[in-house]
Amino acid sequence: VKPAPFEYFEATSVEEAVGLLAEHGDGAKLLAGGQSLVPLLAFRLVRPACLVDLNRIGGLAAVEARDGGLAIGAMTRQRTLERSELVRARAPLLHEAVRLVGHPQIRTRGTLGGSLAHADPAAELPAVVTALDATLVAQGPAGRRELAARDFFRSYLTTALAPAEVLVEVRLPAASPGAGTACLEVSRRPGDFALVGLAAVVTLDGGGVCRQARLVFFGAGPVPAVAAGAARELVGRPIGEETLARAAAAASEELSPDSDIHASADYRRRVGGALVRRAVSIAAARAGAGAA
Amino acid sequence: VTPRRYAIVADVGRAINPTIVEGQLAGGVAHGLGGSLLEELVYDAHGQLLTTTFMDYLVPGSADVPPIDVTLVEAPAPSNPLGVKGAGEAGTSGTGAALANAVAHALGLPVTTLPLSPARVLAMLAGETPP
Repeated sequence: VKPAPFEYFEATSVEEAVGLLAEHGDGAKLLAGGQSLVPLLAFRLVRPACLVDLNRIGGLAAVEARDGGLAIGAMTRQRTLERSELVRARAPLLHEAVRLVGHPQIRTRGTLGGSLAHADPAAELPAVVTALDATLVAQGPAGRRELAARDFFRSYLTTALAPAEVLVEVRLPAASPGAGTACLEVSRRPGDFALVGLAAVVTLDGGGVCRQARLVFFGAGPVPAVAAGAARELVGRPIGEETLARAAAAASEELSPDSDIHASADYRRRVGGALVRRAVSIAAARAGAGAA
Repeated sequence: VTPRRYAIVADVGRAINPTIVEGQLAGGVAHGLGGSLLEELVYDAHGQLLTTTFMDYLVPGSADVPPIDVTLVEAPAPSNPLGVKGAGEAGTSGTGAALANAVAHALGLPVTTLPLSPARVLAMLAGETPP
């Protein structure tokens, strides 16, 4: 169907976009890649008075090596991340996860910043930036500020961005030595939103003992769900069958996902535990391979 | 449940244009796989249909359908001058039973409900009544 009528503004700078947001208030929505917003408009689930298009703003789509990690412009297309050797080398978790986002056609338009600002709890990228402890840079009327990814996602489709702020950059810190990552999800068909998925970062010491673990679920509640209890079961132990079983049980216990027509909360909890086993095994194997 | 390969043998009478007949049967199988694995009309307690868009009513796309081997058996029908029989929907009819039997064989458990969603299969594995 067709969207309800709206005014359209094409911003040519972040300052201009911020100004338009400040001027139009609640009625304004930012248009990035449009892969979530445009269907919502077409179904008339949202009826913004105006759209502020970010696509003509230069300089928001760079992938740069910075401080051992990465600085990625918010308008970087998901397909660019998927094809970037720099991303593959420095943020293999992001590289693996972005391939699970929709289909190639969607990733060709969809942006990193758009996915994060939309904050769909079943989406991969919010969980990935939370797992990687990313810093998100927002620009508003008073200038730029930095937000930790773990504080960014507030609720279903709701972030810590102020009404007149634009997400401009995502900074990923350098990976710790001995770190391995994995992103897995269960979905009905390839490219569908995950019923439940997991982004895992596991750091091993030279002896194969887990020093640090961050397990972040998507599709398991209103925001990316950090499974701290499951991570605690891993830290200080070698990653073996017994440790994995305990971590999986802890994850199933601590998750509080919602039920919907595609899967019950109980199903998501059980599959969440299975994903911990698989993803942590893979991440630990990759960590071991990296250390060797 | 991921079908790796699907084989269908169909008595189509006389295949006037075999390519079209094979395509019809393969299309029927794709439709049947959708009904066996994905497609479901879900209603809420008030009878309101919940699966009203293709975001929620899932159908297989070409990438979701495994290779299909179609074998035509031509036994011309005596009842009409061309010797033709119905073809096409025949691809759909057997799919549910074929998938259910394959899963029953793999798990050693009876399958009584379609579609075979992940939640149903997991419930069967856990010895629970499928949702």
